[in-house]
Amino acid sequence: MDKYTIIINILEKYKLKFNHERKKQILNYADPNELEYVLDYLINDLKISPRSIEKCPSVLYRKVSAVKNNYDFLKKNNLYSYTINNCLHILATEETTLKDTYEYVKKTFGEKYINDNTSILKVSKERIERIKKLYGQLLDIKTLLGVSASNRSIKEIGEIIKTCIAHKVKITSTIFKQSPQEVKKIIEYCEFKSIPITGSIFHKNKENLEKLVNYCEKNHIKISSSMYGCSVDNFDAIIKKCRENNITIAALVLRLNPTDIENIIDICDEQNIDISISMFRSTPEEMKRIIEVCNRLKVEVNESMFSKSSIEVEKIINICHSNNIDNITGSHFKKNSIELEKTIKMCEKYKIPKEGIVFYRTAEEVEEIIKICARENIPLQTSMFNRTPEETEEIIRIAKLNKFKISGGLFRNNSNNLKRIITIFKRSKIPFTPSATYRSPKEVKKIINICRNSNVKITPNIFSRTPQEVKKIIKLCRNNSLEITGSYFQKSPDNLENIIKLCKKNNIPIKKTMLFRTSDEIEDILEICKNYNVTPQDGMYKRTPQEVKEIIDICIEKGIKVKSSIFRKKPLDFKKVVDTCIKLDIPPTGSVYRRTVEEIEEIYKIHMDLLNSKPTPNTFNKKPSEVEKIIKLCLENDINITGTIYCKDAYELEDTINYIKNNFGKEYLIPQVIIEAKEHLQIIMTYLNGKNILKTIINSPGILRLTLTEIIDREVYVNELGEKMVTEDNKFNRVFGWSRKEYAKKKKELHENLGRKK
Amino acid sequence: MKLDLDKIKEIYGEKIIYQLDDNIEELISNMKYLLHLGFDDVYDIVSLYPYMFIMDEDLFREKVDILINNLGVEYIEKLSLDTSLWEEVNG
Repeated sequence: MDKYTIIINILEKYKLKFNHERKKQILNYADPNELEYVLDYLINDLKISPRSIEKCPSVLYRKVSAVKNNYDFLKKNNLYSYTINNCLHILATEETTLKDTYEYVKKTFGEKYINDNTSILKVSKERIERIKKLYGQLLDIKTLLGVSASNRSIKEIGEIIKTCIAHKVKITSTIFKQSPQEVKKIIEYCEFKSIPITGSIFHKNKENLEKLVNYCEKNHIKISSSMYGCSVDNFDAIIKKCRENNITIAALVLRLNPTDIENIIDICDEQNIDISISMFRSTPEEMKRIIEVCNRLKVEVNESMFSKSSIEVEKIINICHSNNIDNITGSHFKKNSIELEKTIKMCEKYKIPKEGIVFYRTAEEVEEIIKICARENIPLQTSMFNRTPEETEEIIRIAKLNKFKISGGLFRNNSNNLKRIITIFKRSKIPFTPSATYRSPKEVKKIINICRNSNVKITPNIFSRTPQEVKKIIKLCRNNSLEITGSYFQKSPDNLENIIKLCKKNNIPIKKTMLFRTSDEIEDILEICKNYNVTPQDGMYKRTPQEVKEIIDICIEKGIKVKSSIFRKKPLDFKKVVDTCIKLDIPPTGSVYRRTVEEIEEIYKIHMDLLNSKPTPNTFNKKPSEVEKIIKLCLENDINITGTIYCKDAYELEDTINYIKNNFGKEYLIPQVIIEAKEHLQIIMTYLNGKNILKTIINSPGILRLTLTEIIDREVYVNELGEKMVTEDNKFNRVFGWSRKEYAKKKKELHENLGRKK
Repeated sequence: MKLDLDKIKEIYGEKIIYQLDDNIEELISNMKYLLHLGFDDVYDIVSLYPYMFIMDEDLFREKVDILINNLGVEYIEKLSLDTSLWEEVNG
């Protein structure tokens, strides 16, 4: 058998299809004695898809030992974790070139750049050096390496750079896919059509670009930069498939052929997985392997897995399991397995939960962010892991400069956007709210304008919606005579509209707590109330319909009235609280549902130990440690403990008590005084002290419930009556005890009488 | 008519506003009860005794009932002329 027949037979055996040109090259360059070994190694050992080999046939020209050596070199230097399917040409590189270039790039630019652009390893060190010498000052490192990896000659590179500078086009490596002449044509075409010039446009020559633009214009498809890498020929079939299956038309999808798309859809259907765009990063074969891994390791398939090879997915899952991570989510697949393991170790070192956005960062970045927080003396916010350490530091600086409290919301957006949003708030003379970082600066500006024009107060919740949604919600509220408050923006306009319709249908007013639920759930809750003959309570909507039913059942069983406050708890917790109250013989009402069973028992014990009496309902407003502090504070200062005292925090009470003791004396430490704000007491007590009538508040503290303005106003009225502020029985004049309505009425009468006399 | 939150904040501190919001169901229920009893200045009463209104509704009603029973038929007028009588409920 001749060489060519052997090669063709081997290619057929592995089901590889090449066009005429590529087949000719394989027949010329491949060694028939090595070819089968190379294909066996690539397809069976490395699990590389035949389609990827079809795109990079040069790997078939090499001996299997050379391919293996290159693969081992990459693996040794931790480069194997990228998706090999996309970098087969690296395996086809000469071994010495691969190693020399690796060492050179690592030493000159840094290892990071090899991971970012692994294709550079196929380029000779000499070429990179030359391009760096000639054009290094015009290109950033990433672009320099991308240009070096291109097929352009040094002369062509120079011409392209010159054209870009002349037309003020940002130089990116993708531009060098095209010849200098083609680059010029593309730029001029884009300028003519007013198409923003991005690097990705240069995936196409001018003719194909024109074809794409015309196709999109004809079919009313919004062209986006991600489409430039796709072939128009398949578009019709792909778009039809997308529309049939409700898939967003995006570049990830458009780069595939219709058969692959169909296969991916079939796999998703078979496995009962929701189709998401990220699945189209993978190939059907790889998807199947990933699903097999998940089934074997009993892990739920997650769309983030499809950006990785099945080997990598398996490694990641095993790392998670060996580190006791049971809940494996998309975030665990953000980085490669090596990076994941490092980050997990970092989480253990600093006692951070091994889940969520911490995996958006490398281990070094996580540590750096933690150190920044320690240096700045601020608590770590999980959302900081959204940002790089440099960004985190910059945002902290911006927050400190503007005297904002450091909260998680500040790290939602990048520092540039944060600065712009803060400026928008300043210019609008509105206090900044971190929730605005949900939106882009442009959206924030629009939302503020919409609210201004509609005379709607700007509340944090508003920024959870887009400007269009804000407009719709305002209109919905106005059309239904609802006072517009922040809570309505918790829901999308469609959801809100459904709830409003439901309330109208059932002739019930819309309640803020309903916004926790969908309209279907609200309807179910109303049905449950009807069946149990129970009046719907506002608090019910905090729970699901099933939970509401269970709670009502417990109430019936235990003889407890169905009230709003009981729905603070889930059914099982509610039952436990009720049982505890019965056991301790305390009424199962009110703020007791704020507490856990353990807290209730602890508060009971504290109260009995310190006061030898059962706690009153208000006591459960506070956690046990607070209750203990408050009781001790009152006992130390000989203050009678009333229910309202538990409405204040211990530190506030202490601050107020100390102020009064130090400035006015212990005799003023009565409950009616100490529950008021210290700043208010400062003003009023100083004023009354100045008039030598402060002592009167011990007998009639009610005056403290008025503002200074009101006290002075009533003082004037008392003078007009010809009476004194303090009566003979050492209490404040009755005028200071009138309700505001009564006072307004009496004052009006007095002035009318005075007017008549004149 | 509305709750004068600025006044409430001035006298009792900022936290009371969050407490009122947190116990909004109790607040509304207790306000409704006073309206039902004939008080037409409920918002003012809230601004004088906000902590009273975040009490459990059954307990609130019980205490209010005791108070107005003690005051007699003219309870609205008496409470209007001496708001310190609400301390019986507030305490």
